[in-house]
Amino acid sequence: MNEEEAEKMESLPKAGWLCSYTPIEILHAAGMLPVRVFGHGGAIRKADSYMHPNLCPYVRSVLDAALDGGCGHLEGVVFVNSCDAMRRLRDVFGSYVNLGFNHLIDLPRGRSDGDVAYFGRELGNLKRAIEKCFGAEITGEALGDSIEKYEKSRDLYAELNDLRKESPPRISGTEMMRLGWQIYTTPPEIWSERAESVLNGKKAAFPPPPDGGRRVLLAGNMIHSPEITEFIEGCGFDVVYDDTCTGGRFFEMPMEDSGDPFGDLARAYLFRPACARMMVIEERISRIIEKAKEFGAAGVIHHTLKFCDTYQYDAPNLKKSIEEAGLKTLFIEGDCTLGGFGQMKTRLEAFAEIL
Amino acid sequence: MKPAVTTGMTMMETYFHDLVEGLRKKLEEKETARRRFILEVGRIGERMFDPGWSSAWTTVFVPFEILNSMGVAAIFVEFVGAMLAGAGIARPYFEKAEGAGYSTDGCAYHRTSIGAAMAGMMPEPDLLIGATCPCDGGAKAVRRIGDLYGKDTFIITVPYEVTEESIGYMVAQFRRMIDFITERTGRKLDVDKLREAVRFGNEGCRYMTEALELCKNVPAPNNSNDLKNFIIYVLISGTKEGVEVSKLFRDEFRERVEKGIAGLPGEKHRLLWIQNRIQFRNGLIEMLERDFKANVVLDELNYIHWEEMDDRDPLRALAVRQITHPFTGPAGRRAAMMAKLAVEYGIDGAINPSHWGCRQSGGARNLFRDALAEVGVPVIHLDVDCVDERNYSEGQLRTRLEAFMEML
Repeated sequence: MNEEEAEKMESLPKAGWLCSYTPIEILHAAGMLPVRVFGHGGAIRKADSYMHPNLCPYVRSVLDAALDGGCGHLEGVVFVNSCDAMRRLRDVFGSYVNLGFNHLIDLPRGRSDGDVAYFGRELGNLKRAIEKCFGAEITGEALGDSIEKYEKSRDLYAELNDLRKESPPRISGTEMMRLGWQIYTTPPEIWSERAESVLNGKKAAFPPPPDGGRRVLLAGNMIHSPEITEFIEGCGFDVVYDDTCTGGRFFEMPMEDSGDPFGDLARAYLFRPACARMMVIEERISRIIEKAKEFGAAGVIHHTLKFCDTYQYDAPNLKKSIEEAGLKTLFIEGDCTLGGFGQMKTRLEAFAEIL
Repeated sequence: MKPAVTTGMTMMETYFHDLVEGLRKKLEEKETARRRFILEVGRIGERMFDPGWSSAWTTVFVPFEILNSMGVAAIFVEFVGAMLAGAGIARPYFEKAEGAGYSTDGCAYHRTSIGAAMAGMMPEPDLLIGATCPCDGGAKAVRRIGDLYGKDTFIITVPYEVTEESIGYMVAQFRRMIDFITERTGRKLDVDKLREAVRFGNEGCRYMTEALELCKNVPAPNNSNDLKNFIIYVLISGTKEGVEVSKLFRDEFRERVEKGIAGLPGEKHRLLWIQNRIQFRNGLIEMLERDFKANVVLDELNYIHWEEMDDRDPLRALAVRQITHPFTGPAGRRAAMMAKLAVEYGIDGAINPSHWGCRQSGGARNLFRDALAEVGVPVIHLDVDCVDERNYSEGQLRTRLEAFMEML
């Protein structure tokens, strides 16, 4: 990042967000920098006094960091009513973390016209809440511009992602995750410049030599740090596709332009590749199998954060169906700490051997 | 997805039949509100096997009035978990689900019902309906049970805020749910029946509100078990029988108050029970009553939070009831309700079993503690699994409860 970019980013008011269903385009259109909040990746110190320890470790980690002032750089946080844990995090933030803006968006489970219309109105409510709190007008033009900028980023990600289809992949899973991660703290226009540069560099370079990595698809809810992907690849894998909400799924959205940006955003978010909370397990199964075939993965590593009901209730059916499609699977659970992952080394290495 | 259910006649049918027969005999000896209540719930259970009715598995908070008005018998899956745990036979079922890959980190109410469906002991439904309130787990559980039977599930998204928009959204979902039921059963909504159900619901709630008001008396006319698991009333709310049950409770409590009969003779401490009871057999309530003269005078779940419903616009009335439920929306609203109840009922202490795997409640437990502390009421979080007794340690819980009671 050059000095000018750094200054620009520093000067922008920052709006926190957590769930991949947050319409960050609206935050960006308000002249804010949408910053994804991740917690601290260490052991929980304070949050367990506020929430039961058998709640989502991501949510508790975010709360833990926030209780120690870890959200001090944010003007506020936008929550999504995506699951029990997120809903409760918003409640607890409202009472124990003093931020100026604390807004929750309802997120339908369905995709009917009524669901899309309701979600569209929720996005309109977010716009009005931001305008009221920050005195910033979100014009249609600004929103259109933000949508376009994020669309460009998503297109570039898809182009880069295609390089993973090669054998060996021209760009590693770790590189993709690290690059993708930067959009969580960077304006999309700056991120796209970087991505373009990486893309051009990769295309111009010689293909990498064979690395003997077993090609796997990484699926699940969230990976809390790019170091996790690096750790997995270090166990003998090439992560050739990422179907997590912090990885590839974040960058996929069927955006269309009908002239109604809130309606378009609502439809695109509801119809993006689904999180388990959307209750469309058949779609998730098909997508994982199709992407595994498209990217030449022989196996699927499915990572779920502990205590995540939406993913855990899907796990038995998902495992059965993916294996019936001829793919090997490894289902692992994480707790948002790197230490927790370290304990999985033996299982990961054993899985690499059977692929 | 192919059905993966073991075939064979369900044990549940026998269970409900025996329950109803047993209750009928007891009622002939002496009619009590509690007996009549259990009888009516048993009859709802029997209806799941009646060929004259269609059937549905649901989560706990869905508009049963609509289902009843369409000729769809319905039972919520958490009831199955509670029922099997109460009968001491939940273990083989939740272990069956665990064997299939369902995590022990989840809610055992749901795991038990999934295992029971896998074992073929639950009647095959025509359809399933899950609401996102109170929790993700319930909606997911009915979806998985639907997969097992190869039946469709309708999911109701319950909004967080109470606004005209969110009420309209709920009404629209109810309309789609009605279409969903019609498409799968051929049954249509009889609006007059639904209006009648709403009127019955109002009448039943008036009696129940009176009954609960009587529980504010010191000593209370009820003991800790009179209204245990009364949440099951949602299944009979909106029926003539529901009205009769409520009236019986009102009359029984009123008579006790008039005659000066205490539900728990010598009542010294008044307790509020948060959320569900511990379903398997245990000695905690007996210990509290016997050793400390502590009476659970109110279960949070029994409180009637909604206003009288307008039968001229039943879908809207039911939508408002569902969105304003304390388990929906901000947990602070629920915590404030607890504090209000604690004051009104003269509560000395609150017991929260803090059921293992209950995210929607576990995530808010500090809010509950702080809200109750503001009105001077301490809370004990038991951290117990209310259905899976494998890790249950009564000795430890007794010690903690004893210390809690001594503090009061």
